[in-house]
Amino acid sequence: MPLLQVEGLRAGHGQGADVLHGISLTVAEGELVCLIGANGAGKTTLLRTIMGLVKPRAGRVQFAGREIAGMATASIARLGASLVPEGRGVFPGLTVLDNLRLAATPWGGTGVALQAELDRVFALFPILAERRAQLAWSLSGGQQQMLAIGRALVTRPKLLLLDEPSLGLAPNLVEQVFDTLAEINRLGVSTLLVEQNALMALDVSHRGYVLELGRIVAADTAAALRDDARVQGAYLGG
Amino acid sequence: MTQVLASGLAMGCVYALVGLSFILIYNATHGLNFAHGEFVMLAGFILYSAVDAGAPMWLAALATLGCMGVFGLVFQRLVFYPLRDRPFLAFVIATIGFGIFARNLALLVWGPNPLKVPSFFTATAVSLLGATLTPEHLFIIATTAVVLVTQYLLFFHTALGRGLRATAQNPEMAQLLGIRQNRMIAITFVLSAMLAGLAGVLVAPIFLIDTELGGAVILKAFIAIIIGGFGSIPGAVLGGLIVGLLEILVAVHVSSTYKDAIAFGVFILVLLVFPRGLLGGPVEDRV
Ligand SMILES: Nc1ncnc2c1ncn2[C@@H]1O[C@H](COP(=O)(O)OP(=O)(O)OP(=O)(O)O)[C@@H](O)[C@H]1O
Ligand SMILES: [Mg+2]
Repeated sequence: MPLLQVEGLRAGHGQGADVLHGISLTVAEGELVCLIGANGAGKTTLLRTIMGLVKPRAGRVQFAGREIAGMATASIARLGASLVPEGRGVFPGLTVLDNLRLAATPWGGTGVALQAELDRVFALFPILAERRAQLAWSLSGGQQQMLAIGRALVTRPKLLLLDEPSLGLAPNLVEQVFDTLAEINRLGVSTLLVEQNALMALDVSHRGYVLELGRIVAADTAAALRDDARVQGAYLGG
Repeated sequence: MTQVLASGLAMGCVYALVGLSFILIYNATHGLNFAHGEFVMLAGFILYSAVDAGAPMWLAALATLGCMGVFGLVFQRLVFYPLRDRPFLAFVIATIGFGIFARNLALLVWGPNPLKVPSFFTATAVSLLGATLTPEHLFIIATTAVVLVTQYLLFFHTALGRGLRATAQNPEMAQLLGIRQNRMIAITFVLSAMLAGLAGVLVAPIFLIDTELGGAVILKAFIAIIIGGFGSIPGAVLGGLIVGLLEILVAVHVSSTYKDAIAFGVFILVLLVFPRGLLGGPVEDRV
């Protein structure tokens, strides 16, 4: 059974119409899967529904062998799913260090074990070590993204979900972020990566899904999607 | 003069405690608790009943704080929790309603006559650095100082404090990191009610206890909060001290009849010069 299995998921905002019209997808243990789609396709809504921030209207979400549809967000996080949200969601008035330490909540990490996690993040993003005492709002956009990803790692995630981590970053930083995500995945963290930057996302992924207006319209290996004429036309600029 | 300053600082401490406990709830929930003055009042009455039942003053004070903690939890459950997903105004109106209810209930239980609790101290004056001071005032100042330091340590040097601050800054992200928002909010209400209760316990011996006890304090606490910068905890403390000192200095040197009018005048002046209050930082600080 895959680590994450979504089946026939429907969801929408408030009293509004469905935004997700029966989504099915899986992420297996160790996989890096990307989900690409245009503005407003429902990518963010899907991630938020998986995390329980949007209540599912129908369908199933199974994670680590448990049904999580309808569960409280904090409980889902404690099972080992960690979302890096659109806009990064760093706590602006907390120091870099406090942002990271907070993330040990799901496993109650303290002391040496927590320090080991922090050291791993600092090894991955040395700039965060340098700025550890600074308040998070004073970081640049790229540094905030590193903090958001680093923080997600401190939760010891079984599954990392990322919502457009490349958004608003300079091209050289984008490349660095994707390299880091690939590296994190190689270290054993299963990942669901949402991106508009389809080419780069497919480059680092094993498999991919294409979401259009709340429906999965293509699902294949990353290599096959890169060669798919429809995908090329719509998402890879020809 | 030292005597005057000490009494101003003491009242300032009370306003600071009330103001900052009000802001704790605001920062955690964006809710304005208009029953906060009644929290102070309730603590005064509970203290009276405990003393009346024969408890020594210190025990009565501790019992009151304990009761206020439980009360904060119940208030959170009954008034805040059912309305948590409703528009902002729902909670505001509920707290106004609760305030009226609490004052009338107090009238029924404790009657309309102002009540008196004894002082924490047997001595009526102590000498310090050549000045003669009221022990009650020194006690208020010292207690507040200890509480503020403790609260700082709690908020900035414990995991619970990080969770509380994170929930105040971005509740959704806090939940995504496994922090249980409802628990953080419940703890915030408990802390807030205990701090407001402490203010009540501290002023009760120098004021009379009646249903107006809260009203007398909460208005000054609001001014303190706004002078200090709405949403800022150091601001609420600084604002409280300013209001307390100003009030007594005006009463002694200018006019005790117009002290409130003059306090309001200064309040408006501060806002003209600092529209966000003295310590009202950029919005990112809080949101
Ligand atoms: N909070 C909300 N309330 C109401 N409708 C929303 C809300 N958030 C998103 N929507 C609507 O849901 C649909 C899907 O939005 P969503 O943000 O999930 O798309 P997306 O694929 O993440 O887009 P983007 O690439 O712009 O981030 C859109 O039509 C959007 O207008
Ligand atoms: Mg989105």
